[in-house]
Amino acid sequence: MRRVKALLLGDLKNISRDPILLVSIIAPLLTAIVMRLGLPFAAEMLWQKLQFDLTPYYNLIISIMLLICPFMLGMLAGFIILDERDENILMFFTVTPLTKTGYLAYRMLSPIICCFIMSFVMVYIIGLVSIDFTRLLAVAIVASLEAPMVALFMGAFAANKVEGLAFSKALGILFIAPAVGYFVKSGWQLLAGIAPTYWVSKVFIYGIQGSSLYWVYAIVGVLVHLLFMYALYRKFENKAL
Amino acid sequence: MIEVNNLQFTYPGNSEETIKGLNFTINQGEIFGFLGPSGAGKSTTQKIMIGILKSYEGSVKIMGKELHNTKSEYYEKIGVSFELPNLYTKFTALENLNFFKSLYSGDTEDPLKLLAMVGLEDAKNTRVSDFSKGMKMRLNFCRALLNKPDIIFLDEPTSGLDPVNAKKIKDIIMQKKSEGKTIFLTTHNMNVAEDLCDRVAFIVNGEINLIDSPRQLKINKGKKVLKVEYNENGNIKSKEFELKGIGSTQEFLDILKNKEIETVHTLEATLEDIFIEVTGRSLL
Amino acid sequence: MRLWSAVKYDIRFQIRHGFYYAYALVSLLYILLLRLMPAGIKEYTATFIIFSDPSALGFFFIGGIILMEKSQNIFESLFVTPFRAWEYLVSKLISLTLLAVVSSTLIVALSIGFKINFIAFISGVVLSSVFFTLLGFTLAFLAKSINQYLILSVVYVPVFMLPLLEFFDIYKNPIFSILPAKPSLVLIKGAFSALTGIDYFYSISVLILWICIAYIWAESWFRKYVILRIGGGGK
Repeated sequence: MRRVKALLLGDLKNISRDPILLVSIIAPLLTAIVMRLGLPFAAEMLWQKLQFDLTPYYNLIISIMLLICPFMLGMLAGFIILDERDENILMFFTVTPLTKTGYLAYRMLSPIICCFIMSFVMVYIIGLVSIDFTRLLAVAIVASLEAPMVALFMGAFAANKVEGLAFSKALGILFIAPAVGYFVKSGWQLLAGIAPTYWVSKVFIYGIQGSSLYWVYAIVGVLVHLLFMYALYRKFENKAL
Repeated sequence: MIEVNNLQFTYPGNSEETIKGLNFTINQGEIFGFLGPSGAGKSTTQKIMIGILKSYEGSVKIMGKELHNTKSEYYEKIGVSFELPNLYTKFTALENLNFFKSLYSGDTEDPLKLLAMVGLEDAKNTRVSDFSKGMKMRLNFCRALLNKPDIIFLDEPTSGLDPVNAKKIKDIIMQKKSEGKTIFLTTHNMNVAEDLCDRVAFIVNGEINLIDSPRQLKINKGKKVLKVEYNENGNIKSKEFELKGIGSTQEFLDILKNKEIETVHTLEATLEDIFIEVTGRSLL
Repeated sequence: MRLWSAVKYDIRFQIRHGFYYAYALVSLLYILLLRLMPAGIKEYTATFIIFSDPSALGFFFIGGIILMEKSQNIFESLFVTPFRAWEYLVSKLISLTLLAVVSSTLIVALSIGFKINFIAFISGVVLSSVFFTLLGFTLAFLAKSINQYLILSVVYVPVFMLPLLEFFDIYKNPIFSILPAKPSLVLIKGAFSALTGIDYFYSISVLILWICIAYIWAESWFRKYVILRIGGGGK
């Protein structure tokens, strides 16, 4: 704990020099404000021009927006890991009492906390849909696990920063899963459950509907995320530094 | 081949000159060593000579042409290997060489031949990301020879290599010299300089303090004495004798005849000692 | 030819680093999304997607490429060969723009079909991609890490993107017409609607003007931050 505290202090000092943390707080806030103003505007335009009603899709759209923050923070954390591997800092941490696992845990910690808080903030700022606190809590827990998963994915698979960029683009494919979960009505939609994003979106949508199914999805969602993280962690462990 | 006269250089925004009037000439087929501590101006001089820094004062004539006026065809004729390996890690050894080869329009070497020369033929289809540091260094060295250059600039060519491979690289350098290539070698490693260089220049603070052949330097600067260590009743004793007339120095001959000799050394200075003596600076 | 060989190896580099796989997935995502769209806004959405993603992919990737080549000391070895700075820049522009064109064409062909104005479409994608890649060059030399690059770009890019406000009918301003995003959008949108000769003339000349400015800018940064730093030591 003392070691983690030392690292955290080091990071706080870094904020002044490297504005990553600041931006990762401001960007979701901005996204939320744009959504709050933009969604009703877009809905009205679509209605006027095409008689298309966007409002039933608010829940899907907002559930996808909630994924943006963990994706972004996960990506930033992933790039820090790749940079620190390039500069052999990772190797250095591995041979200190912190160990590689400790290092990873520490790198994951701030994105998790940040995403957890931001999930609440974003939902309240966007408004437009209402969800009660306990259900939102479940959403925030599942969503915040998304960030370390993305970071681990990049650390486990990307050999360098350029590959990291390509991977972060490719991960965009995960955003299909919520849409599949929404539009595909048959049980086949469960196939999309391979993608962890499916569960985040489901918990949120069932949460809004007031369906008690939400906690089943939340539990499965957490399990799916943990499973992924474990597999990625093993892969990362075995990777040469 | 290379003629440098009163070369001066100041980095934009600096008030002090980094290079303060260098003079030297390098003949064709010569290996010229450039020795000095970091920050002495070695890499700045090399950057001027490879045509990267153009705003120098004085004159640098290479193959009879002032460097200011040369264009990209100059790079067809020189080969440069930097100290740090710089290669595409996702490409194989052969792909790296083929790519760099394709940048030259003149006659080029067969990459496979170069790989065989440094003992990397079995790794030709291995990606550089899976190379050890020494393998990268050797591949990096190959790259400098791709375009059959007339002048080869080498920066610490044997750093990070095991003795066997360092020997291989030194042999190739000597072979290039025998083919009439001119070689400009930058190093801190005095053994490399001693083994390879026809002449060395000591550079400190942007100035050359001395240029001479390593052998001559050692003779001129060394003490002309011989030191004998011998065993006398279980104690190691040592004695020094002037080299001049040593064949008739009775005490020396007695020791040789009657004592159990442990070691015999002439005390010529090492290049490192001479460097410290001449420049007042250590090399690292 | 030297430039041609450089382009060939650039493409191989991009394949090895997964660019093409990544964009295969990204394109798939957009194709599915566009197929779900109701007919009336399909073309409109496609214009926005093509403009904001494949056309700008050069901006996204060039930062990483430059930062990595810098950290792996690649520039040193490149520029002591007859290879010139302009060839380096142009080769990157061609190879990344090729990926942009392939991806954009796939997205539109498989979601809307082949009955589009390809001249407007391709010229829009090519010119936008060249411009955004050059813009990325100018930023890449300032950033020290990918994260810094990505964050700086959040501050840097929106200025050039302001005409999107007009595209979304939110706010209009005559100044938008001289920003590069406006002609890009005109051309890409022109794939699905009629364009006049004046539209072509206006869009292509404004974009080419921006490309010239960005090119001169990128090349001078390149000299300052890359060529003069070769070989380490000194400044």
